[in-house]
Amino acid sequence: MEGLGIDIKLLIAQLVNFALFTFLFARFISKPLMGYIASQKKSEDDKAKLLAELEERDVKMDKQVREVLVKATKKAEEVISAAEGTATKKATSIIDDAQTKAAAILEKQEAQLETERAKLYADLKKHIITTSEALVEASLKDVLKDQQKKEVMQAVLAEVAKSN
Amino acid sequence: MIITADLKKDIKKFLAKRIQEGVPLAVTVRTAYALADSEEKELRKAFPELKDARIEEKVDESIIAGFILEEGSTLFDASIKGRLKNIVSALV
Repeated sequence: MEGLGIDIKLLIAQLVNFALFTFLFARFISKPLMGYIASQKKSEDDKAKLLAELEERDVKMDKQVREVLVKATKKAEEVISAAEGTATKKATSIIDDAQTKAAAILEKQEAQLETERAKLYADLKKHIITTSEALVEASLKDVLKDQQKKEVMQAVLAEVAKSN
Repeated sequence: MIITADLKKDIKKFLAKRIQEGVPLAVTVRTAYALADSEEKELRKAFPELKDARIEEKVDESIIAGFILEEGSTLFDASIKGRLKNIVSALV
């Protein structure tokens, strides 16, 4: 052994040392370490499980969000459609109402215009007649001489006498 | 100058009624110029009811020609102006 360069004492001491180390390791370190590793593994497993659950929840949530979005979009479209319908009806009603009012105003204005035109025509006619009367009267006063007035008187008396 | 039969009938009827009531007739005749005696006679001839009536003559140039006979509030208008007014009333 010595020829091989191995020191028996040292080898024995190392073997004892290794045995002691193994004993001490198995007695005091291995168990807690294994427990720690096991707890770590369990913790990792729990984390993985939790992560899976979270991912699953995330997927579910995502799905729910999409469903909610689809429903909300559909609802919004329905509301918009209903609002458009209502707005169209309201607009039609307002336009109809405005047209009716405009027609009434127009009719009233036309009637008023016609009345004013008739009044204006009547006033103009009256003015022309009274002016003509004044002209005729003035002309007759200027033109008729006494002799002609006498002739008128004779004609009137003759007319009255006819009825006797 | 056209004097309607109804008008003549009405005035004559009125004058006759006044005579029947015994009321002495007093009429006013408005003319455009002063009547000559002959014209007054012709007037009385045209209205026999005025034979004994007192006639007051008034010259009113505004009537243009013809005459207006008044008895109280009754009036017989045979003037050119009256005729003109009738035409105007019919037109207006």
